[in-house]
Amino acid sequence: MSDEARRRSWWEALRRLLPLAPAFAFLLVFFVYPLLRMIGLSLEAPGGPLDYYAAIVRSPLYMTVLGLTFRTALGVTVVCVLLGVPTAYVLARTRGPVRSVLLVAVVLPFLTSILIRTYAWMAILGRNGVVNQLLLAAGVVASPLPLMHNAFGVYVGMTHVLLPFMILPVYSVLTGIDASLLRAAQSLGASPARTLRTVVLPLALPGIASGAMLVFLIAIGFYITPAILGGPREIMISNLIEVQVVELLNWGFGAALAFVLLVATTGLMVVFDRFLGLDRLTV
Amino acid sequence: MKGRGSRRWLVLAVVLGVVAAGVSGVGLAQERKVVIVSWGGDYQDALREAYWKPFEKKTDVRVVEDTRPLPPRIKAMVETGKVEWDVVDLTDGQYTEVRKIGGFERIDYSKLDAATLKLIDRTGQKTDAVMHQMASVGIAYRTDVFKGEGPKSWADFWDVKRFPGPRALGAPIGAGAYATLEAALLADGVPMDKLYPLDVDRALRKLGEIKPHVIKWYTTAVQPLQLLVDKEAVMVAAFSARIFLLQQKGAPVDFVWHQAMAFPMFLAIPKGAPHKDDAHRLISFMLQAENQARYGNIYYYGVANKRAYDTIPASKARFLTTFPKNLEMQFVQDADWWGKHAAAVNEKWNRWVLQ
Repeated sequence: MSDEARRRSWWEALRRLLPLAPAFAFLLVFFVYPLLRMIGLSLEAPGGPLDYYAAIVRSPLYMTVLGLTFRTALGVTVVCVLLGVPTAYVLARTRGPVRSVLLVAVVLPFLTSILIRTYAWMAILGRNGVVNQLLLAAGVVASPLPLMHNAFGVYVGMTHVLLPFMILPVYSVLTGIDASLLRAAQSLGASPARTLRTVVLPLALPGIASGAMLVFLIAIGFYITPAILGGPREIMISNLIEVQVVELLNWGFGAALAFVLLVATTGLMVVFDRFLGLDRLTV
Repeated sequence: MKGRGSRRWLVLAVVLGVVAAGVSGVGLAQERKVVIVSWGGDYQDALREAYWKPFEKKTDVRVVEDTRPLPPRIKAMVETGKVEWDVVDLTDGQYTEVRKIGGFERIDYSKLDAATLKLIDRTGQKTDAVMHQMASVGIAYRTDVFKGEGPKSWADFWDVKRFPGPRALGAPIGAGAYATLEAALLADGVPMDKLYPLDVDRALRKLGEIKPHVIKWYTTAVQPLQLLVDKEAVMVAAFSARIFLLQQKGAPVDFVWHQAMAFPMFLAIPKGAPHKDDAHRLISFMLQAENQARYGNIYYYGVANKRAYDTIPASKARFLTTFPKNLEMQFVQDADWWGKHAAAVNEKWNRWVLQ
């Protein structure tokens, strides 16, 4: 390739990337720069640049809570897959006004703040809440069930908030499946169950994977729902970060914790990419 | 076509220019204001009625309100040099955190009314903040659950045989605003005047005794109220003013003054505040006896000016933290101790909770 041609291909590449410039500039100002500032802040410990990180590693607390956070996020993701995939399947198979009503029902919770939805769950799950009142009145239980202030309450609250993030990507993949593939499977003698297993689910897998990843990533950052619906042991890493930033004004330590969370999450994504391939995901 | 388009822009620009000039002209003529920041809700309504409206009537200074003067917001304003607030209303824990980073202007006591200052406790007059009221955290319980005899001390709070039922206490993760460690030590027999320095390990050992009965270590001040009203808990640690407000609305709840923790709330001026002079005037006004009495008659925190009780009837005064009969039953939080130890307590606490 001559110099001239190489320069021209450079120009070509640059011209093709030009439309990305506004988005890139936006990310630079509102994501990359704050992120760098945050990392800078985390290195401003009074004793030495890595002091905050040493304190995080030395104390058993932060790694324990990080583990609890990932465990909760993973558990909620599994519940969302189990509830979300069948829901998306039903949604994709209905037609006309029924589908519209169902879709609105899925999206509607987005219009209410997380805080209000979480408080609504308090009224439902409490000792004197709707569920316990009904169970007591029907004589199913003798004393109120502990549905809240424990892991169960957190799972219910978080699943409620995160389920749409699971349903919508799976739904969009399912509606994109070519109907002739299903007819072909049927004409070749596959039962509905077998069609589902060998045709629909493999084709839906990228949607399920991206939904699961969305849910998992958002779940890691939760702190209001666990703080309200959880018990003593439902501490998320974000709760600890919030206390450092808001209560103790120790922004450096909070930044270090946030960066550790970012690194751990990114690490998990890399592992995820190795086994499933992020580029295959569709939303 | 092109000509008409640019003419339209010209007209628009002229109109905008005129409007802008008019607005700033009006602004220059009347721009005397002071920005005060408190915690919203019916609390801020009471402050407005008792202090800020009368202040506007008496002076030509407009009081502009904002809410939630959280320490990190003050820190951000001070450090970026873009301070929009003149007076902030803080608990002593919050005040102590911001003071550590040097976030306040010095109070110029020569600008405050000297006679008024004599009526306010010396400990409430800091170099960079003045106490305007006191609040209390103590035992609150359901009177319909404990009919006849309710809990009278933290030892009773720990006595799950005589007073059965779920409890809620605050997580001492910030500057210790919920008196959890203090309560444990009092329940363990430490006298009120020997609490500080807190023996954290001893407090956690004592808390271990009621850990199974505590359904929630709450993290915001409204949570214990919700838990009590919903009967999720029958006994909690909560703020006196909030409990008495619920009582007025007919909720079957009561507050125990004995062994409650009192703490001052301060007015302070963030470093670099734009209207320092009028901030001093507003603070001075808010401390005067007649204005404090008006506030004490409306709301449920303890007024700082002793003379205010001359015109608050005893039927109302008994709800207030600083009413002498109430104050002698309580202890005062040592915010300095908390300022030094909050971070260490926070970590120790979280490890204990996860055990």
